[in-house]
Amino acid sequence: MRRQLKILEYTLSSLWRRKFKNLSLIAVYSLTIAALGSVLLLTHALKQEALTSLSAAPELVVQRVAGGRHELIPVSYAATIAALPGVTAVTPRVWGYFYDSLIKANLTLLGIGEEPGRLELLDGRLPTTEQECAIGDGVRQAFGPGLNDVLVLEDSGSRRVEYRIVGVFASASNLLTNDLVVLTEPAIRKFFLIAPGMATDLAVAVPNPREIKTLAKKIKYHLPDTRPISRAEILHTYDSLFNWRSGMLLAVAAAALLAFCILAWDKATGISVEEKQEIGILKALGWETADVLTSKFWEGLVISLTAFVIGLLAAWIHVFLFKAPALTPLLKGWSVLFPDFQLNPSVDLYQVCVLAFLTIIPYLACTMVPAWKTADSDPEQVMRN
Amino acid sequence: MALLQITDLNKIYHRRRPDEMTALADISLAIEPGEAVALTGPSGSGKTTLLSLLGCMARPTSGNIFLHERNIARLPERFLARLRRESFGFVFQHYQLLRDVNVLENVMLPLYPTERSFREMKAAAGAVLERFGMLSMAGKKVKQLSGGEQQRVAIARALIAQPEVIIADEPTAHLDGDLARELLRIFQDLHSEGTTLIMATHDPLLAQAAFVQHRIRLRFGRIEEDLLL
Repeated sequence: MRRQLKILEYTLSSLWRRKFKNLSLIAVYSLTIAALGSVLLLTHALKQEALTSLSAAPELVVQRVAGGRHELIPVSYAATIAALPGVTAVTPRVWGYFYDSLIKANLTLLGIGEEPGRLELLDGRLPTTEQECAIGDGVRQAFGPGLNDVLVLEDSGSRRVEYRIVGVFASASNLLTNDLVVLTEPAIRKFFLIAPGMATDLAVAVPNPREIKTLAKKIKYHLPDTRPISRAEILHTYDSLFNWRSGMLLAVAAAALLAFCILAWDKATGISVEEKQEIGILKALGWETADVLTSKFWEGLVISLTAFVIGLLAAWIHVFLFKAPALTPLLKGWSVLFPDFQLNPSVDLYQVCVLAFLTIIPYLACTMVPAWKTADSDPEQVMRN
Repeated sequence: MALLQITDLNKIYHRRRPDEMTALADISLAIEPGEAVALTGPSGSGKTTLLSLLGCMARPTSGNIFLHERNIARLPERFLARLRRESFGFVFQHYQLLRDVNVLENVMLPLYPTERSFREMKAAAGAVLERFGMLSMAGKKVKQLSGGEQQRVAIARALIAQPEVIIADEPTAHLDGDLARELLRIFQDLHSEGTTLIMATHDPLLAQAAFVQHRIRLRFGRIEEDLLL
């Protein structure tokens, strides 16, 4: 143990002697880890956001489709669906998207009845009159108003409508309530000109997840102009979308990895004259091949672990503090304009372990193999060369 | 009983290749404990190779090397490393110090792969440096030292593990007259303390020093003269 500690101490002082070379190596190495780590962290965080958002969503949503387009659905369909065995409740929902040209973002306007659902308020209360609203944090940040201020929107008839803000939302997932404006049901019907007896979609509660597929088929059979969408399908779509995009990004980041591999290969094949001489001297003075390799192992581990920690930390800061400006447009997509939202920090340990394995182990090998080739020779031969 | 005994020693480099070269051929000799040996001969005669074989820094192509009657020519690498660390101290022709490392750490290098504590290592290094008047320079980097100072650091490093045998390859080659005489005095002191000295040299000052008891002359890899004085 004492011997190992002394060899570690020697290694650290040896690293310090070549600090400029090692620092530049750590910088390049960290940058590679940061690039790869950012993609993985952002993808994982987005998936988690989607998962958290959808955990509050109904098991099954039924929309009406006419001519391939999403149309309003008659509330009367709810009775047909509610009569199916396995369905415990059907709730008509009134909501819609609203593009605000001022903040250049889509807002989700949701009407609530007496049942507020699973929304949690940070501050204030839910709206009770047609002139009141509750807003998500992203909307608050985009427009600037706070509690008791007035939110001004333009309705479907191009009329200016004012709502007093009576609540601001908090949620485990920022994505869930970030772009949300909650109004009373009569208010939203007026805003989107939705006739009474019609709804945007129907939320179907199905307690047994194994029945969801069968129920979706039955709904389609009884109401052929509907499109039942299960929560699992939406999750699967998100998963595929983010995996595909992260895959594309990782392919781009592979260029950084390749550059790093070239650097590592250069190190592997080109142990310097000074390093060779040092190994020769150490061996001549009684260091065993194993001692030299232990020293090189510590050297590789210190450099790779330092770079890994710095790179991962940089990726974390890039993704969760600075909102991944380099990657967000690619991973979140250009077609959907959300108000700016903050991702909840979330790290997949498995991914971190895989990244560590794919970067630290090859570097260790690149450090130790050439040292082993040199240290395995007689000291006289190393010094003579 | 000889401290070191060599029988029928051969060393061939690049064996079975077009550039094969016989560095040593049929060498047999014996070195007694506490003896001061001067190894002489022209350049390329095999002096450095013989020192390397004696000091377990290389393996012979054939033949035997006995240390205290134990054949060490075919020992596994880790045992040879231990012998280099504990039984032999080397003073190389070009000092072979780590130039960017300070004097103290250079001197302590042979003790890193041992169970000695840092405190013990520093105490041992301090003692040998003090002996050669180098303690005040312990924190200086080797590249800041003169040739003579570097030589003294190299000798201090060779002595730190208190080896039985000091092997020196052309120790005066890069020293001027005064420094060479100072080195001679150091070697004389070591000899009087009972340390076995094996020195390869071109320098008549060292080869014909009064304390040298055994002179071996090599030529073309063979012993031309083996003289006990």
